[in-house]
Amino acid sequence: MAPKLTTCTFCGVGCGLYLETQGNQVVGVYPSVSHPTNQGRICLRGWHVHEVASSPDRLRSPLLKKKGRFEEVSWDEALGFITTRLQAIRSQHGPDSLAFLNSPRCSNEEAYLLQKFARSVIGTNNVHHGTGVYSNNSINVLQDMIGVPASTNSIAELAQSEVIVVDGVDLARRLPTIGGAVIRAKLNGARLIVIGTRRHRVAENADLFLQIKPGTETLLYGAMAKVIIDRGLMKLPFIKARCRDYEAFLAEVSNYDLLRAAEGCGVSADLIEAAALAYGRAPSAALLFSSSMEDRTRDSIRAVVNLVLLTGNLGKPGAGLFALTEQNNLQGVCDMGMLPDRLPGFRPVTDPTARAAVEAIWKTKIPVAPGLGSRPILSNRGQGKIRAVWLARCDPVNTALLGDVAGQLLRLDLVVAQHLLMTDTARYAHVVLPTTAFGEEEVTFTSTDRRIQLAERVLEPSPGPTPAWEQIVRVAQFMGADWRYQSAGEVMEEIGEVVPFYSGASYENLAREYGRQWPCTKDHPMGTQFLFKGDEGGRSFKFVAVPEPPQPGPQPAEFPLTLVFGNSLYYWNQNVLVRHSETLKREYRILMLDYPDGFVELNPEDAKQLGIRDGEHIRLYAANASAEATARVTSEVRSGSIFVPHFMREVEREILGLGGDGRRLVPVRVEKEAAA
Amino acid sequence: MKARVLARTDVLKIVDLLRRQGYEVIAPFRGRGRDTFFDTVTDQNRDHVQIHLPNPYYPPKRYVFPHIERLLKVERKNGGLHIEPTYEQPRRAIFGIRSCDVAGIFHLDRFYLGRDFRDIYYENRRKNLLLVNVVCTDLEAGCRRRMFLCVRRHRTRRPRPLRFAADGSGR
Repeated sequence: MAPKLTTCTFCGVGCGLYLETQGNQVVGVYPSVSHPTNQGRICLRGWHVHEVASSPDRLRSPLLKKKGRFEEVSWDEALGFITTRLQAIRSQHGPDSLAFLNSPRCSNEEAYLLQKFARSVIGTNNVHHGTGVYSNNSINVLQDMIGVPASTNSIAELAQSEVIVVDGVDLARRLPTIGGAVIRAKLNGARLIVIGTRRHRVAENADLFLQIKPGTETLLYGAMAKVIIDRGLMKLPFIKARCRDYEAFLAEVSNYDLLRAAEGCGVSADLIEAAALAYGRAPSAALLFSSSMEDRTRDSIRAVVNLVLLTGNLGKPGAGLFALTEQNNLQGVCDMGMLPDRLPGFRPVTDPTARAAVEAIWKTKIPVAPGLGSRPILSNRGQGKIRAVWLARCDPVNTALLGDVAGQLLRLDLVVAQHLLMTDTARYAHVVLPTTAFGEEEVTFTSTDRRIQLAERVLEPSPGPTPAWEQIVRVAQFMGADWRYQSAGEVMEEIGEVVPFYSGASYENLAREYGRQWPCTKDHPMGTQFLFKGDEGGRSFKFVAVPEPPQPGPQPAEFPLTLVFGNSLYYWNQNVLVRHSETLKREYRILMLDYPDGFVELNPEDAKQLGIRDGEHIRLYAANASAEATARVTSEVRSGSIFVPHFMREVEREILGLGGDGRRLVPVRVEKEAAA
Repeated sequence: MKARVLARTDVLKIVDLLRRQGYEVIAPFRGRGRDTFFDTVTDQNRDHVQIHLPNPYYPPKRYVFPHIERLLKVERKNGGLHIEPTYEQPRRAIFGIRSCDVAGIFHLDRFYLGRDFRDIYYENRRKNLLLVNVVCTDLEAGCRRRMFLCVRRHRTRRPRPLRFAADGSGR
């Protein structure tokens, strides 16, 4: 069969690739040379993620738990059971006792229908994507300050950037295609500035690497803004024409002090000044940060946006702000309204005009009060109010950084799981609905640079599983909704009516080239390569004054090191797709061969001082807790800190407690564990 | 061997001829934008075969050395296991293959056919393979960096002896 252009469904880059099939099996993958984002390149995951479709572990039939054991049942029985239970729980405890969570890997159509089902059929705004650790801070800050919660420019434009700032994201591991684009831009003359706590591969290639102390980003950006203002490098014509609240910002920035910031961040004042001058002087500078983790405070993101506005790096090619999404459709599920306080298109659910516009299309009422997010739902069942949870392709037991999700699921009256595979979460479900895989259905995803793309159907679906969006439609129909979608394309047509900036994104239009970047409207069906072109819009951007954060207190003498939790080099090893793709499983477990029990990372200087060698057992002592782990000695980690990858769940639970209070930095001391 | 000159309009008749002779004919096609690919010629796509295209990014190596192939058939018979090798040996022709890819197949031959161990699966596919080579008339973007693999074939066959500097280091 002729190779078909489709979209990689692993990370947020959205690379274009061709799948070659033979006998209903993918036998070859290769990248599109013409695709504007990847231009003939894909990463290891792109080459192999299709293997999941042929995994022998795929679920084939709906499963219903009877007397504590799963039994294969018919679709009618499974969907009938769900319908009856949802109706009973809603009538007994009210619509807000139900919650609907999905994964940022769900398609736009699935995400749209799930939130529509929750809002219009059930009557609750308890909808959320992921497990509460994703891009909410980034969305809210960007919406507030620039009016668009997304990356402003295209990945392909990085080739035109004169300065590229990479903040806190290990591109080489997490978004390798973008990492490659950044390195190529640097080789072609761009200056590369890397800010972060880890010396990752892109940092190794940086012109300026600011290895700051954990949690000091706000201080650093404030100091950089001060340098830019002191040197007169701010773009006043841009600020006057396009921005508000500059004076308040200016007053606040004047309180920052370069030397104080240098001390607080743990990098030299010269380095901060050099980075500020390089960024401030560049005709076009791009700033990349990861939107995906909530360990970035809102103030630190505000400080980033302030810097972009100060230097006028919006509305031109090669510049802009990249709020990078690490899952393939994190941007899309947010666009589709999988947020407890926002309708599709990011309109607040509390806004009567916004509600009225959506209600007119859905022909039903939408609840007024914002719903619960996934964090309260999964950490304490919304203080016990939640009785049932629908989890679409979502695996919080494995991925949530919330302590005891499994324990919470066990206490629910109904858990519905939609997934390809029997995930750790699905084991706790009452009903499991098997879904189709990558390549078996035609749906759309939206990449990190707003590119809405078709993922084509190249395989006949395996017997049994059905598309997740169809399952939602059938349950809605069972509950009396007059939903008549015959295809995912019809769902996208309705999305075009509800989400103004998707109005031109019909399947026909998306199939013409390499998808379309939103805003893709009927008036501008070709989409938008970069936002804010031209001077239209008046003073729509807003500075936000960010007070100088207090200097971190002195490190307690008995706990001289700082424990940092985060995503490590090999964190994909626990991803359910990786675990069911033979090649990826092998590649992403390489490091685990050396550290079969996992590891925490120490800087070689600290290790030497403590007499700890690579691979030795150590014990971490915090004020009220301790945990055992294996040491991995690596210069990627900053001296003075110990890095705990999120997949080291035991360490996290023992140090932070079962509930996980969200603290990211914990003072600790380390002792070598006596050999057993 | 005699040289023949074909009219431009008759070039695709080679494809028809090969198909009539029972070959599965693989030829280059245009995808989206500058993307091109090799695919099997059928009645439906025959008129879309093109040879003046950028060389497909995904090389034709898979037609002599596929990513996935069935090597053995194992059956339970008479209380034991009956193992039988399965050879895929279609009569296959690659029409429009470039010289660099031909050189690539030549290198595979050296490894799989030219040593003590002959890969019988590879050999079976190669025996039934017919190549219709298109020789580039102009240099494609990127060829310069690839060091003209198409014309370096002979150099590979007769590697230049290493010379040693006075200090013993190779150069």
